[in-house]
Amino acid sequence: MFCAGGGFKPSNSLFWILHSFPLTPGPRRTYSHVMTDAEVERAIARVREGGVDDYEVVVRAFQGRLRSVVANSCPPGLEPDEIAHLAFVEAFRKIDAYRPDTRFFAWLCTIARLILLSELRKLRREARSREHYLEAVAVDALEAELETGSELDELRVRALRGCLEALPEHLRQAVQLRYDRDASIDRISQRLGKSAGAVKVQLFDTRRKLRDCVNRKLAMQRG
Amino acid sequence: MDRFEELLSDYQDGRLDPEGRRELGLLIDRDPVRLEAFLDAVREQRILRLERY
Repeated sequence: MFCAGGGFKPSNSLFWILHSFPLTPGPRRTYSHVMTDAEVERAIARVREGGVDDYEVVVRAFQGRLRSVVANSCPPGLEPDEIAHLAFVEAFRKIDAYRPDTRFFAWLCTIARLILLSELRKLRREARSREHYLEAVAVDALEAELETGSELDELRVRALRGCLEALPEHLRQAVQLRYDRDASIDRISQRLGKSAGAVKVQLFDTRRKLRDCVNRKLAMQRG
Repeated sequence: MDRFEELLSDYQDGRLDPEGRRELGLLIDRDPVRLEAFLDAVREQRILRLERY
């Protein structure tokens, strides 16, 4: 029996997990609605008893949320998907240490935060040695934030989602092209039939609108 | 749009050259308000890339 937490070689298990549970690029905003906490806890219990395949249920349930909260603390040069993936692998290896019904997602976020801190330290050394000044400043600030905070922050993700949904369709379309399709300004201008300058100004204004909206929501939520 | 906003906008549009990146780095390193604005922009960008529309 292949049991999480013991009875197998770590290197083999790590290899197996990395290839068995790739994070999927599918719909990212519905996982929390697909499964209840009780269903996830039952899947975790089965994993602890040796039902390795059930870990896929856990990954599917939380990958969207984890990616987003990790993205909130990821500087340029670190990929949220990679950090989330490493966190799932580490959580699997330590699954016996999780106390049932004690908010698995919060436990997973703690693991992700520690991995993120470790990666930030590596990146900081690299950024300085290569004289990537902008990245080094960003990494320093994010590392300081993570060191003082106890959990990864999900508030901004929710706020931004709400603000995005409230945008008029024509503004959301440019944001979608820029970020979902990773289109260049020139490509967006061709697609929307506007000049590159007009697209640049529109994106600038839209980002400002989003940022103001997010900050208003955060201020309200944090009292 | 001031110089900081111009550089930040170019950064977010993927159009900032190495000299611009260094200039933006200097600006955010000297000013905590600009640093926070830059970090907010990076967060926003990262989260938007993960969203489905």
